[in-house]
Amino acid sequence: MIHRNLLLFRGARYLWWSLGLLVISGVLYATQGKVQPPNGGTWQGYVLGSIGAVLILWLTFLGVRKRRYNSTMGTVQGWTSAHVYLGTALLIIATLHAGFQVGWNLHTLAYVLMIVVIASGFFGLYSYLNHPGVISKNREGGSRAELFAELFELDRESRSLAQKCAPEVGIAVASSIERTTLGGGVYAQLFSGDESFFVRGAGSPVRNTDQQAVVDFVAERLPRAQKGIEAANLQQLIVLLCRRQAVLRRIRRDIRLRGWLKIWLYFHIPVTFALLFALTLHIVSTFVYW
Amino acid sequence: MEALLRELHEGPDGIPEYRDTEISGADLTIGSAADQRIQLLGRAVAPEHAVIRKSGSKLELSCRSGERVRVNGEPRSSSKLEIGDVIELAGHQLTIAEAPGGFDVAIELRPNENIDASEFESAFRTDLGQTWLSKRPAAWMLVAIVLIFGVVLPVSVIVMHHAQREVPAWVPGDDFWNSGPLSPAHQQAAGVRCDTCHQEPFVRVQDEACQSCHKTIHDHVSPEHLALTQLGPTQRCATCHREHNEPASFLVNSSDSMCIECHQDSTKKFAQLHVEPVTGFSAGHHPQFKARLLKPTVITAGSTFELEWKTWTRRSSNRTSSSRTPSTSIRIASCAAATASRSIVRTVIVSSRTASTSSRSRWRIAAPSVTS
Amino acid sequence: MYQIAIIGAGPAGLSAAARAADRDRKAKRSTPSYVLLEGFTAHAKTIQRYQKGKHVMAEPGFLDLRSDLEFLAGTREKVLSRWGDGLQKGGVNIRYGAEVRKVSGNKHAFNLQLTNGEIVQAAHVVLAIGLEGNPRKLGAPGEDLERVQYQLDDPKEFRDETILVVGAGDAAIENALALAEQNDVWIINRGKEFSRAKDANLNAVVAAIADQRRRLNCHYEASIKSVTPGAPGAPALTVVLQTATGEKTIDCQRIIARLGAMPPRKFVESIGIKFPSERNDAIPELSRHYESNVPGVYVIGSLAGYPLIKQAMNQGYDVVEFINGNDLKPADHPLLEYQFHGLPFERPVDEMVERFQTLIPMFRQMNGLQFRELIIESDVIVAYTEGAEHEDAKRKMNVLNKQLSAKQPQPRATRIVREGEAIYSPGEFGTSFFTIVDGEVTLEGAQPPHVRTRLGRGEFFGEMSLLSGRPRSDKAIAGPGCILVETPRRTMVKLMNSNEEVRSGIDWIFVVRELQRHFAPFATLKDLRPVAARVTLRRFKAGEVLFKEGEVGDSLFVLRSGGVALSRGKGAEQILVAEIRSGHLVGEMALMGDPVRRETATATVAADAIEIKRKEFLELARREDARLDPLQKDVSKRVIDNARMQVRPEAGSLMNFLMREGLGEATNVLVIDESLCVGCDNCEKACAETHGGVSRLDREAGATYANVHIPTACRHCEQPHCMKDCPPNAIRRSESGEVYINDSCIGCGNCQANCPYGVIRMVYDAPKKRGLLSWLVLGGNGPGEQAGYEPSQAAKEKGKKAVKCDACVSVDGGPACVRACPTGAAIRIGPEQFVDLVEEQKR
Repeated sequence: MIHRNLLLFRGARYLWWSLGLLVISGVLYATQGKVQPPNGGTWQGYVLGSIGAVLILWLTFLGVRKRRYNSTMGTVQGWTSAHVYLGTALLIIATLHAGFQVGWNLHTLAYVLMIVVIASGFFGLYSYLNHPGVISKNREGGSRAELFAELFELDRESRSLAQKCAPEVGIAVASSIERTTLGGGVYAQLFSGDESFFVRGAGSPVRNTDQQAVVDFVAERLPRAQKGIEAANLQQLIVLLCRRQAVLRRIRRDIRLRGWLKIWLYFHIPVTFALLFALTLHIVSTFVYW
Repeated sequence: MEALLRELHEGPDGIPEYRDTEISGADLTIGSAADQRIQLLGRAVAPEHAVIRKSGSKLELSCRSGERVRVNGEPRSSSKLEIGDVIELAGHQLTIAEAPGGFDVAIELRPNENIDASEFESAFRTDLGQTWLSKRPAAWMLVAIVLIFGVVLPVSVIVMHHAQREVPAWVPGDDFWNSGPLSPAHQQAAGVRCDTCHQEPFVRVQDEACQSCHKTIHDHVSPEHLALTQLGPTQRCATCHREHNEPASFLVNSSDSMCIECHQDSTKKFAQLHVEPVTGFSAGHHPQFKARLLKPTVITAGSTFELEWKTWTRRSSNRTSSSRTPSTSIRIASCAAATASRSIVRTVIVSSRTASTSSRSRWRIAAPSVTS
Repeated sequence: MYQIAIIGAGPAGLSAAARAADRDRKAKRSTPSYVLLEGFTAHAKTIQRYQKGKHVMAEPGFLDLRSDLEFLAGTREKVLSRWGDGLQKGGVNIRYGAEVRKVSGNKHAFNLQLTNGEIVQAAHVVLAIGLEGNPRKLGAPGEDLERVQYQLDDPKEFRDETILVVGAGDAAIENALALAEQNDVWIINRGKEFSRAKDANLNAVVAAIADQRRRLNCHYEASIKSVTPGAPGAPALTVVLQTATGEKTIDCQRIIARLGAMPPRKFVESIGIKFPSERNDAIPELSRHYESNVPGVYVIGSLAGYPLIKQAMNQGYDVVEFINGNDLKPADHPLLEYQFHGLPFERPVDEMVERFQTLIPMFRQMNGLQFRELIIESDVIVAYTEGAEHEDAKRKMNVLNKQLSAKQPQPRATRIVREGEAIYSPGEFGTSFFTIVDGEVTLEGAQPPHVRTRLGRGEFFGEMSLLSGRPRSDKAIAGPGCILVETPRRTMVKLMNSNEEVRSGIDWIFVVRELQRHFAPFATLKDLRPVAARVTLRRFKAGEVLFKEGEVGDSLFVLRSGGVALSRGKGAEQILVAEIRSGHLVGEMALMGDPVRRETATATVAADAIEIKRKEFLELARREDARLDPLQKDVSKRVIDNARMQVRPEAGSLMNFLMREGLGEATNVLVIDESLCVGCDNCEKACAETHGGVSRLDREAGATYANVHIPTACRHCEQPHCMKDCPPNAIRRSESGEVYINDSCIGCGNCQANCPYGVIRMVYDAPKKRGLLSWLVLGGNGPGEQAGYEPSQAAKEKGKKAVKCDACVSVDGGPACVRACPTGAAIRIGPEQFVDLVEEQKR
């Protein structure tokens, strides 16, 4: 195979590693319970805890390996594949280490932070596997810059054509172009927020979500057109506006998908650092009050 | 303000073309967004970059915070404008020209022909990196929170406790380090003071801590017997009596596995003590009980008395102890309720030879003293 | 009467005059024994005419300078001023404005007649007039007007003028493009195109004319009929043009005419010097002392076939010494000594050079001096038997090499190999050409049946890679006592272009060897000669069709260089089914079974192919030792592959896309699967961080089709366009195939102009960044190229240099972009994997 995704890297070898590790952990866990309930303080608990801690450190280290461009220690794809599988295993190993015991304390805080990291990682994995293909299809082989270039041309053509029509149409189209919103803040980007407006006649701005309102406005005037030339212009204008609508939809979708591709990292990374500190404190405090 | 904007372009055969637009409004906004009066594309142009307004009879240019333009070659963030001044921005050139009649200002724009329409994107915020979201500050913040609750507050509270200062109960302290519930009695005894049991940092809970309340509890196996086994040195109380687990009442594991853990391999482990192995609590797994008579000796102490039980064997009275010192083991598996005065407390004794120190049990009997 | 009269104050003439001046001084003469006559008003006219600030090179690097004047690589201004200083200090006797019209007389009594009538007498004449000659004039009235110029010193001198540039060669184009920055320029082109210009200039001028924004236009099929001064108040010149549709009058401020130069050949011949042929680049026959067939008349410099400045200066020095009876060894003598040092016998250098030339028939046509040059630019390889002999030879060479290592750059010396050692192995990227001076070499085929051919004295090999740029397809084993000359591609190409016999000789052997390889592995070259004489070598332009689907085919093609695409279907329904590379057969199926062409064959890039018709093919096939099974097996496989591609039109159209992107000539290309790429840009960051902070890869740029994205990054073409025109020869190809630019880049930008894929950038060095940990904690510039970085003062002084992807040839572990991609979207593949890539894509 020429291209292979990170789950299938090298025949999913890290899946087998993780499963093996889980079997070992399960066996270890199962040997507890005779003297005391399974918890992190038995020797099995210590072993599981050590495995977990080493895993956490190694998983964090992906951030360093990814940026060591001269390193020949495996490839970043290999590391990421292992990261995904072993990170999933970590979830189970840490739970076994904790013996399924949770409470309102530092140790569970570390556990919860770890869960947030892993859960955000699952979400990230899903986005990484799913979104790129959708984005590519949405862009139809072009690039985002090309979509914007197309939008700019459509804006210009629409504006100049609208100038040839009745004044209200001119104002409506010009204002719809000027007041088109794309992207914006976090919410707007992730949920394709559309705060577009346009101005009807002499009134105040009216919502133009998805450009539909301005298209309707122009379409309404078409049957009332007095001259043939006016009708032809309006006809063409509607086509331009609909094309504009389509391009804007594509761009919004592109912005949204790329946003979702990245948003999980804003959780995954900062919480990892909090986790590292919490982990250290968890280990230290356990032995302070041994 | 009435403004005339003249855009200069190169025509197909090199002849310059003009395109005039009339703009009326208070301010002439300049930027890459579609709603700017003068829309200029380019990555170096902010969506809202600058404004030209009329202040009195003069023209004034001011940029948004953080943005700059070049006025006559000099980078400025604001400037008064005269006729002939040239404003440069990302390769675009705006020249203030003599305004014809009816207009307040005329501007000649020579756009940067090298800029592609694809740079239109810079008019919008299209990437999460352009929002307030940022990983580094978020990380620092979360780390700070973890540190505060995880080490700063607990250590402060510990220090306060050591200095005998009062700390309100709602302040999270080292109880944040508590890894599980305590059994109710212990919870009541310790309260918020972890050092009740954990008396020295980095040292496991020692027996002194337990015995500070449980003064008369004795070892499961006496040191003399223990020495005859292969079990190693005395274990701490806490080896078997584990706290901070769920369920909270689980202080001692009453399941069979607890006993079997050690008694399973008694042939080897208990060495000279000759105790038969136990693998369960049923017929085939547990050796037959041997009845042993325990002979009590009463020791009075004020209004209370103590009974010291020793196993009584027929020959034990005059016999000198052999190396195999039969020793008392009292394991009161169940005890009948202390009845009224004259009943003899019957005890069912399950005894097998295990090493343990002689133990005293303190009995309090509600009735008047019983004579032996 | 002077002892020596030197004509021409170029580097050669200046050096000669300086030498004569020094001799005079040593002999304490009161009047000079020599005179340097120059028609222009300053020294080194040609270099004076270079554009301001142009970089002058001091090639060849390993040749020592032997002259009384200084010369180092640098800007034109520096070079000229150094010479000017040298001339003054040496008190050199130069006469400017003294153009020589005629030379008559004979040895020891020559009369040089100047244009002003004066006669100068000399015993010896040294011609150092170069090849530039005098610029050709307009040939129309008004050609001498003040504003009609024949050179352009500083294009920035003029502003907002209307200027006509007459001419369609490189000089005219370069001047026109430079002037169009600030002026309105019209090119007056006699023809319909700019066919004489270099590729880069041709592309640039056509693009500039088409671009409305640029102030450059062209009158095609036009010439100047007359030029008259304009009326007062009107533009300076009124010009009448003769065009295809009649006359046209236009106004302008200035005319720059770059019509080439009149070669000085007539003048030279008028002295009695004979040229060996009518060719434009023919050089007069000269003796070892640079004496022509006219005794007493010497020729040096570019006229003698030495276009490089350093060589010319050496010759100036040498010729004055020769004339004074001092038979010194030429400056390149030591270089030849080093080359021959490791030979098993010792002989005088000149004898060896002569001997070598006699032993290699192909080089016999060359001028003796030209051959000397070739030896200096080549490697001499000698094989010794394993054991004591080999050890001794190696020891001897080690001693010499240690001495030579002090020189910068280190001159070449004999290469010692073992008998039986492989000189090159299959798969290696090498483009040099080997000739056998003595001994024998065995060529072993890489594919079964591993046929071995023995070559002996006078024969040659390695021409396949020389011509096609493909990796070596066989193994060359040094035989007993073999002595080889390995000539680099550049030198061979120059030679093949100037020498018809050499070119046809190489073509011929190529054809014979290809026939042998494909059809008759056990035949000898002699056997194949008759057939080889009857096949034709054809050249196809990119896009040209070799044969069409549906035709009856009667020939097959052996592709020598370039690439061919096979497609089925008509018009818009065309599906690309296969891509053929050089060294393979095209259209053989028509001769083996089914005579109707099932595909249309189109050249994807310029291609050379040998066409073998049915008759010749049958002759080959009917030989007793013919091995047709592999061919037939190949054909069957091809038929299946093509059919498979045909039924998956998506695969075909994807292949079409790859070919359109120019991957037909790629050897190592970065391909990104868009369905895996998350846009993290780690590939770009990796590229920048392993290459001094400047990325050679632009991930987002580049075309996409059906999830396959080809970012802008070098494809390491088979025949790299960038290598074509690199003055310091800074672009090389490693043995494993990576094309890289080394440190000797001078920033001229030719490679960037020549690359059709826009993968080369001219950039300043990037500033150093802080470490990873500091970035982690404090923020700031992270890994990757810093957008819009401000170069340091030192970087600005160093200037912009060309950078491009080098497939991480010097980085451990291979391409950093592939290793850094977390999702596996980025991979580098070669052409053998295109079909797999295309088949794998679901769409």
